[in-house]
Amino acid sequence: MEGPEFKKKRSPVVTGTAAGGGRGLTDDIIVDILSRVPVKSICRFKCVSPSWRNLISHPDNRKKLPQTLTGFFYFDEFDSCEFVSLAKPPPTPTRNWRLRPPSLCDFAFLPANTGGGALDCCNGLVLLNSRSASGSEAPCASYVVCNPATEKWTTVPPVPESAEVSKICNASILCFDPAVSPHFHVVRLLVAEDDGFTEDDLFEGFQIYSSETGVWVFHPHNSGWSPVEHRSRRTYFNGLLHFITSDQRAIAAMDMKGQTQRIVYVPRSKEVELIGHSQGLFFYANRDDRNTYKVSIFVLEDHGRWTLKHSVNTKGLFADADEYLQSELLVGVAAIHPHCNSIFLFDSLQGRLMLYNMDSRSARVIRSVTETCLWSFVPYVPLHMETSALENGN
Amino acid sequence: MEVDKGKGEAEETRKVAEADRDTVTLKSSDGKLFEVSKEAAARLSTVLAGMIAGGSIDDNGTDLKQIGSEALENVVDYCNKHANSIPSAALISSSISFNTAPFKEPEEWERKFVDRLSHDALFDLVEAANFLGMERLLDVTCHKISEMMKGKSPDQIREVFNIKNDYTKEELEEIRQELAWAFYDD
Repeated sequence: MEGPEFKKKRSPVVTGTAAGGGRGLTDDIIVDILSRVPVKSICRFKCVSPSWRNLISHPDNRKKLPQTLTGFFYFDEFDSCEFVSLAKPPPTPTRNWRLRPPSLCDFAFLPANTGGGALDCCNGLVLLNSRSASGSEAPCASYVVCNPATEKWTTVPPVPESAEVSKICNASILCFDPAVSPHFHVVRLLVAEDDGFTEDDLFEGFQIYSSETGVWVFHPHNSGWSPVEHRSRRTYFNGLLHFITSDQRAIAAMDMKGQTQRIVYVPRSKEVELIGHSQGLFFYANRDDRNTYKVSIFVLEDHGRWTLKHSVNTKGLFADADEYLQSELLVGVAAIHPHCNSIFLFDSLQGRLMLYNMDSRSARVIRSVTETCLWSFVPYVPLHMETSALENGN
Repeated sequence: MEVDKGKGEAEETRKVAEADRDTVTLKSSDGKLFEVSKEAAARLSTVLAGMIAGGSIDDNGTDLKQIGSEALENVVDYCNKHANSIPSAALISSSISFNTAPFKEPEEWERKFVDRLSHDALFDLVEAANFLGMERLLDVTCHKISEMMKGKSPDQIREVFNIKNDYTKEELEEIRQELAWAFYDD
């Protein structure tokens, strides 16, 4: 390693049980040092001593330290949402591993009649349908944005009524990254009402709300591409909302002013599985066009080219798979672990979520959820930091 | 500047003389004296800036009883080097993503400055920087320690920080299993 070798302590007898140990460092300094270490190392350092574990998990320090994935918002074919926790199941196996922490997906901290169903999640904040909007007095769409970790929330003003005429919103997307801005954006994908005759592109444009300006702005579709609305086919990364384009040939990155910033063509495939990011890198997963069981994971390099990171044949991953994996209903990529070299795979026929390690090429079923044919998993990493954009009730 | 009533004229004169000098003298816990650029000390240390502004700097060596001579030598060395370096604006980090406060990556000379230190000296310097309210030096030294921690096992961390492992075997096993579950790669 760098630097001179570790010298014997002047007084090796002094080994403190406090977090600072024999070094006598204050807790604040240790937290300062830890805040610069990757989240995976921080988790591993809980093993150092009970005082380090307490320091790392203390509510005051969680605000300063990066956090890792604790679960997913899981959406089924009817777009109803449940929270799938990744906490280790209890040692005595119960028939149903689904755990629903009271603060997640129930959103018990919201006043009654405020939040409806979850729609999206981004870097710790959650976008909900506003329940009051479903009443007859308020015909326009409106939303609530909340942080389940701090139990702070805010309402998003209703979408201007005029903007809704003859357009249908087919996805509501939350964009938020505390490293980019303390403010969030809500992006609505608007399509024209289908008259049933035309097969043409119905995409009309983006309607974007900024919590900074407090205003909805409509950006008509004029950049030559239209987005796929599926949750796994989009990701907010480095301040840009990335979509798979509807022709599945490229990824388009849009800023929060509705301007296309970048188009990157993707490797040929039978089907795009997912785009996402992990450990600061942009990922793309697809299904091979000759072998539909084969899933490939690519990384976007700085110069705009893709590097194949990993390929896996999903056919052999589940021991009991053979009997039903003959159909086109295959195992799909649910998510990329944000902090380690693992991906989540989902067997939609039996509702089994699996963690697959790309280094050891091994897989393990970690949860069973309600099986469904159309699904998406949105990663949830708690954010314990206060966000100025969330002021309860305002 | 407000001057306390009842102070002797001699002291006033000494203070004026002190104000004219462009260095200050600092005294370590073990009585060694170090000269440091007054401008750099005031700019880099909130504590020293307060002492200089408040006139509590002693011409014969301001006592810093909490800091040993080795650490104080490094503090002074850092201040003097900083006084002579041209700050570079091009080194603003884009990689530190979680803390929204911008952190400037250590400059080349700062990196070299902390790289040559032993672990003991580095940890002593962190404490000294913290005590003197030297935000930048604290940043640079904490950054260096965080780099040292990368890829290290809990055992190695205990060695570096001189920490006793007072987990029971069972507790440790439980935490290990939780981690293995969360990341599935240990």
